[in-house]
Amino acid sequence: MDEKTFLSEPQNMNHKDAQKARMICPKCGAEMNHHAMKIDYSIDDSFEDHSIFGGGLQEAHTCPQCGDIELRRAQ
Amino acid sequence: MNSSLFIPVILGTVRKGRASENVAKFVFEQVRQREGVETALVDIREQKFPSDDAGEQIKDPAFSELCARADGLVLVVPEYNHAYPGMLKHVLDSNLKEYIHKAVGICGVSAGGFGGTRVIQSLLPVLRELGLVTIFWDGNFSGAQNLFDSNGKILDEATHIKRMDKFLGELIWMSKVLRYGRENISI
Repeated sequence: MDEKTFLSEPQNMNHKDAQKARMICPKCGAEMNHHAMKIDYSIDDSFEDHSIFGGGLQEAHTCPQCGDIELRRAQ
Repeated sequence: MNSSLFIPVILGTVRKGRASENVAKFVFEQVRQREGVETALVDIREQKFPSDDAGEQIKDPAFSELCARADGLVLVVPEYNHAYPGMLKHVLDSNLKEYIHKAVGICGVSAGGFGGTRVIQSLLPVLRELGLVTIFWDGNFSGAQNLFDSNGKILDEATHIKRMDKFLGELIWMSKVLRYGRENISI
Protein backbone atom coordinates (compact mmCIF):
# COMPACT_ATOMS: atom_id res chain seq x y z
CA MET A 1 0.00 0.00 0.00
CA ASP A 2 1.21 3.50 -0.78
CA GLU A 3 2.85 5.06 2.26
CA LYS A 4 0.91 8.30 1.82
CA THR A 5 -2.23 6.37 2.68
CA PHE A 6 -0.99 6.14 6.23
CA LEU A 7 -0.01 9.75 6.73
CA SER A 8 -2.34 11.63 9.00
CA GLU A 9 -0.83 15.08 8.39
CA PRO A 10 -1.49 17.40 5.44
CA GLN A 11 0.61 16.84 2.34
CA ASN A 12 2.10 20.37 2.30
CA MET A 13 4.15 19.99 5.48
CA ASN A 14 7.88 20.60 5.42
CA HIS A 15 10.44 17.79 5.57
CA LYS A 16 11.04 18.07 9.30
CA ASP A 17 7.33 17.77 10.03
CA ALA A 18 7.06 14.86 7.66
CA GLN A 19 9.62 12.98 9.70
CA LYS A 20 7.21 13.13 12.59
CA ALA A 21 4.19 12.06 10.54
CA ARG A 22 2.22 9.41 12.35
CA MET A 23 1.23 6.19 10.66
CA ILE A 24 -2.39 5.15 10.92
CA CYS A 25 -3.07 1.44 11.25
CA PRO A 26 -4.50 0.12 7.96
CA LYS A 27 -6.39 -2.58 9.86
CA CYS A 28 -8.10 -0.71 12.71
CA GLY A 29 -7.44 3.00 12.15
CA ALA A 30 -5.57 3.61 15.40
CA GLU A 31 -2.40 5.68 15.52
CA MET A 32 0.63 3.41 15.32
CA ASN A 33 3.81 3.69 17.35
CA HIS A 34 7.09 4.20 15.51
CA HIS A 35 9.56 2.12 17.54
CA ALA A 36 12.44 1.19 15.25
CA MET A 37 14.57 2.12 12.27
CA LYS A 38 15.85 -0.86 10.30
CA ILE A 39 17.99 -1.28 7.23
CA ASP A 40 16.18 -3.52 4.78
CA TYR A 41 18.62 -5.13 2.38
CA SER A 42 15.86 -6.27 0.07
CA ILE A 43 15.38 -2.65 -0.98
CA ASP A 44 17.63 -1.69 -3.85
CA ASP A 45 18.57 1.88 -3.02
CA SER A 46 20.45 3.75 -0.35
CA PHE A 47 20.35 6.85 1.79
CA GLU A 48 23.28 9.11 2.53
CA ASP A 49 23.71 8.18 6.16
CA HIS A 50 24.19 4.47 5.62
CA SER A 51 24.89 4.11 1.91
CA ILE A 52 28.10 2.25 2.67
CA PHE A 53 25.98 -0.72 3.69
CA GLY A 54 23.41 -0.55 0.88
CA GLY A 55 19.77 -1.39 1.41
CA GLY A 56 17.04 1.04 2.35
CA LEU A 57 16.07 2.52 5.67
CA GLN A 58 12.66 1.48 6.98
CA GLU A 59 10.61 2.69 9.91
CA ALA A 60 8.87 -0.03 11.95
CA HIS A 61 5.45 0.86 13.37
CA THR A 62 3.26 -1.25 15.67
CA CYS A 63 -0.41 -0.67 16.36
CA PRO A 64 -1.17 -0.58 20.11
CA GLN A 65 -4.81 -1.50 19.43
CA CYS A 66 -4.62 -4.54 17.18
CA GLY A 67 -0.90 -5.36 17.09
CA ASP A 68 -0.51 -4.84 13.34
CA ILE A 69 3.05 -4.19 12.19
CA GLU A 70 3.95 -2.01 9.23
CA LEU A 71 7.17 -0.87 7.63
CA ARG A 72 7.44 2.50 5.96
CA ARG A 73 10.34 3.95 4.02
CA ALA A 74 12.16 6.42 6.22
CA GLN A 75 10.92 9.98 5.72
CA MET B 1 -5.84 -6.77 21.94
CA ASN B 2 -5.20 -10.08 23.71
CA SER B 3 -3.32 -9.49 26.96
CA SER B 4 -1.71 -12.94 26.92
CA LEU B 5 1.73 -13.24 25.43
CA PHE B 6 2.13 -15.47 22.40
CA ILE B 7 5.43 -17.33 22.32
CA PRO B 8 5.59 -20.11 19.73
CA VAL B 9 8.28 -22.79 19.77
CA ILE B 10 9.94 -23.39 16.40
CA LEU B 11 11.55 -26.74 15.70
CA GLY B 12 14.39 -25.70 13.42
CA THR B 13 15.33 -28.83 11.51
CA VAL B 14 13.76 -31.03 8.86
CA ARG B 15 16.27 -33.88 9.20
CA LYS B 16 14.86 -37.40 9.49
CA GLY B 17 15.55 -38.98 12.88
CA ARG B 18 16.10 -35.58 14.45
CA ALA B 19 16.64 -35.74 18.21
CA SER B 20 15.55 -32.12 18.47
CA GLU B 21 11.92 -33.11 18.03
CA ASN B 22 11.77 -34.50 21.57
CA VAL B 23 13.48 -31.38 22.87
CA ALA B 24 11.00 -29.15 21.08
CA LYS B 25 8.06 -31.06 22.56
CA PHE B 26 9.58 -30.80 26.04
CA VAL B 27 10.21 -27.06 25.66
CA PHE B 28 6.75 -26.52 24.20
CA GLU B 29 5.21 -28.21 27.24
CA GLN B 30 7.21 -25.95 29.57
CA VAL B 31 6.01 -22.84 27.72
CA ARG B 32 2.44 -24.15 27.63
CA GLN B 33 2.37 -24.44 31.41
CA ARG B 34 3.25 -20.79 31.92
CA GLU B 35 0.35 -18.65 33.04
CA GLY B 36 -0.52 -15.81 30.70
CA VAL B 37 1.37 -17.34 27.79
CA GLU B 38 -0.11 -18.91 24.68
CA THR B 39 2.11 -21.01 22.50
CA ALA B 40 2.24 -23.25 19.44
CA LEU B 41 4.70 -25.85 18.24
CA VAL B 42 5.88 -25.02 14.74
CA ASP B 43 7.75 -27.65 12.76
CA ILE B 44 9.63 -26.12 9.84
CA ARG B 45 9.33 -29.48 8.06
CA GLU B 46 5.63 -28.72 7.70
CA GLN B 47 6.12 -25.25 6.25
CA LYS B 48 6.93 -26.33 2.67
CA PHE B 49 8.85 -23.27 1.58
CA PRO B 50 10.03 -23.37 -2.05
CA SER B 51 13.75 -23.79 -2.63
CA ASP B 52 14.00 -21.99 -5.99
CA ASP B 53 13.90 -18.55 -4.36
CA ALA B 54 14.58 -17.08 -0.93
CA GLY B 55 13.89 -14.19 1.41
CA GLU B 56 10.60 -12.35 1.63
CA GLN B 57 9.75 -13.42 -1.91
CA ILE B 58 8.77 -16.82 -0.50
CA LYS B 59 6.69 -15.53 2.40
CA ASP B 60 4.18 -18.07 3.66
CA PRO B 61 1.06 -16.21 4.85
CA ALA B 62 0.38 -18.57 7.77
CA PHE B 63 3.96 -18.54 9.03
CA SER B 64 4.22 -14.77 8.64
CA GLU B 65 0.95 -14.29 10.51
CA LEU B 66 2.20 -16.51 13.31
CA CYS B 67 5.41 -14.50 13.60
CA ALA B 68 3.49 -11.21 13.43
CA ARG B 69 1.26 -12.35 16.29
CA ALA B 70 4.21 -13.56 18.36
CA ASP B 71 5.63 -11.53 21.23
CA GLY B 72 8.62 -13.82 21.46
CA LEU B 73 10.06 -16.91 19.83
CA VAL B 74 11.77 -20.02 21.10
CA LEU B 75 14.04 -21.65 18.54
CA VAL B 76 14.98 -25.28 19.13
CA VAL B 77 18.02 -25.74 16.95
CA PRO B 78 20.39 -28.66 16.47
CA GLU B 79 24.04 -28.11 15.77
CA TYR B 80 25.05 -29.41 12.34
CA ASN B 81 28.75 -29.06 11.53
CA HIS B 82 29.12 -26.32 14.15
CA ALA B 83 26.29 -24.25 12.64
CA TYR B 84 22.53 -23.97 12.23
CA PRO B 85 20.45 -25.95 9.74
CA GLY B 86 20.24 -24.22 6.38
CA MET B 87 16.50 -24.84 6.21
CA LEU B 88 15.97 -22.87 9.41
CA LYS B 89 17.76 -19.87 7.90
CA HIS B 90 15.69 -20.29 4.74
CA VAL B 91 12.48 -20.15 6.78
CA LEU B 92 13.55 -17.30 9.07
CA ASP B 93 14.65 -15.15 6.14
CA SER B 94 11.10 -15.13 4.76
CA ASN B 95 10.07 -12.44 7.26
CA LEU B 96 11.41 -9.11 8.47
CA LYS B 97 8.85 -6.69 9.90
CA GLU B 98 7.28 -9.56 11.83
CA TYR B 99 10.41 -9.87 14.00
CA ILE B 100 11.38 -6.30 14.83
CA HIS B 101 11.79 -5.67 18.56
CA LYS B 102 10.58 -9.12 19.56
CA ALA B 103 12.31 -11.42 22.01
CA VAL B 104 13.95 -14.67 21.01
CA GLY B 105 15.58 -17.44 23.00
CA ILE B 106 17.55 -20.35 21.59
CA CYS B 107 17.62 -23.94 22.78
CA GLY B 108 20.73 -25.55 21.36
CA VAL B 109 20.75 -29.30 20.80
CA SER B 110 23.83 -31.41 20.19
CA ALA B 111 24.92 -35.01 20.12
CA GLY B 112 28.06 -34.05 22.00
CA GLY B 113 28.55 -32.48 25.37
CA PHE B 114 28.42 -28.76 24.65
CA GLY B 115 24.64 -28.37 24.50
CA GLY B 116 24.58 -26.73 21.10
CA THR B 117 26.61 -23.75 22.26
CA ARG B 118 28.28 -23.40 18.87
CA VAL B 119 25.00 -23.31 16.98
CA ILE B 120 23.73 -20.71 19.42
CA GLN B 121 26.79 -18.56 18.86
CA SER B 122 26.49 -18.83 15.10
CA LEU B 123 22.80 -18.00 15.12
CA LEU B 124 22.98 -14.89 17.32
CA PRO B 125 24.17 -12.44 14.62
CA VAL B 126 21.50 -13.71 12.22
CA LEU B 127 18.73 -13.10 14.74
CA ARG B 128 20.10 -9.66 15.53
CA GLU B 129 20.08 -8.68 11.88
CA LEU B 130 16.49 -9.88 11.56
CA GLY B 131 15.55 -7.36 14.24
CA LEU B 132 14.97 -9.86 17.03
CA VAL B 133 16.23 -9.22 20.56
CA THR B 134 18.15 -12.13 21.99
CA ILE B 135 17.96 -13.03 25.67
CA PHE B 136 21.02 -13.98 27.70
CA TRP B 137 19.78 -17.36 28.89
CA ASP B 138 20.00 -20.33 26.54
CA GLY B 139 18.60 -23.81 26.63
CA ASN B 140 21.37 -26.39 26.32
CA PHE B 141 20.60 -30.02 25.51
CA SER B 142 23.69 -32.21 25.30
CA GLY B 143 23.80 -35.86 24.25
CA ALA B 144 20.44 -35.46 22.61
CA GLN B 145 20.14 -39.08 21.47
CA ASN B 146 20.21 -40.24 25.08
CA LEU B 147 18.21 -37.50 26.76
CA PHE B 148 14.82 -39.14 26.29
CA ASP B 149 13.33 -42.59 26.81
CA SER B 150 11.66 -44.52 24.00
CA ASN B 151 8.38 -42.72 24.72
CA GLY B 152 9.97 -39.31 24.29
CA LYS B 153 10.01 -38.51 28.01
CA ILE B 154 13.03 -36.58 29.18
CA LEU B 155 15.15 -38.62 31.62
CA ASP B 156 16.67 -35.95 33.84
CA GLU B 157 13.48 -33.97 34.05
CA ALA B 158 14.22 -32.03 37.23
CA THR B 159 17.46 -30.56 35.91
CA HIS B 160 16.00 -29.49 32.61
CA ILE B 161 12.83 -28.06 34.12
CA LYS B 162 14.98 -25.96 36.44
CA ARG B 163 17.07 -24.71 33.52
CA MET B 164 14.01 -23.96 31.41
CA ASP B 165 12.48 -22.04 34.28
CA LYS B 166 15.32 -19.51 34.15
CA PHE B 167 15.29 -19.42 30.36
CA LEU B 168 11.54 -18.83 30.18
CA GLY B 169 11.56 -16.35 33.02
CA GLU B 170 13.95 -14.17 31.08
CA LEU B 171 12.18 -14.70 27.75
CA ILE B 172 8.76 -13.83 29.15
CA TRP B 173 10.10 -10.74 30.89
CA MET B 174 11.76 -9.57 27.70
CA SER B 175 8.64 -10.33 25.66
CA LYS B 176 6.50 -8.23 28.01
CA VAL B 177 8.92 -5.33 28.02
CA LEU B 178 9.34 -5.30 24.26
CA ARG B 179 5.60 -5.56 23.67
CA TYR B 180 5.09 -2.51 25.85
CA GLY B 181 7.88 -0.73 24.01
CA ARG B 182 6.59 -1.59 20.55
CA GLU B 183 3.16 -0.29 21.42
CA ASN B 184 4.00 2.72 23.55
CA ILE B 185 7.56 3.99 23.28
CA SER B 186 8.53 5.93 20.16
CA ILE B 187 12.04 6.09 18.79
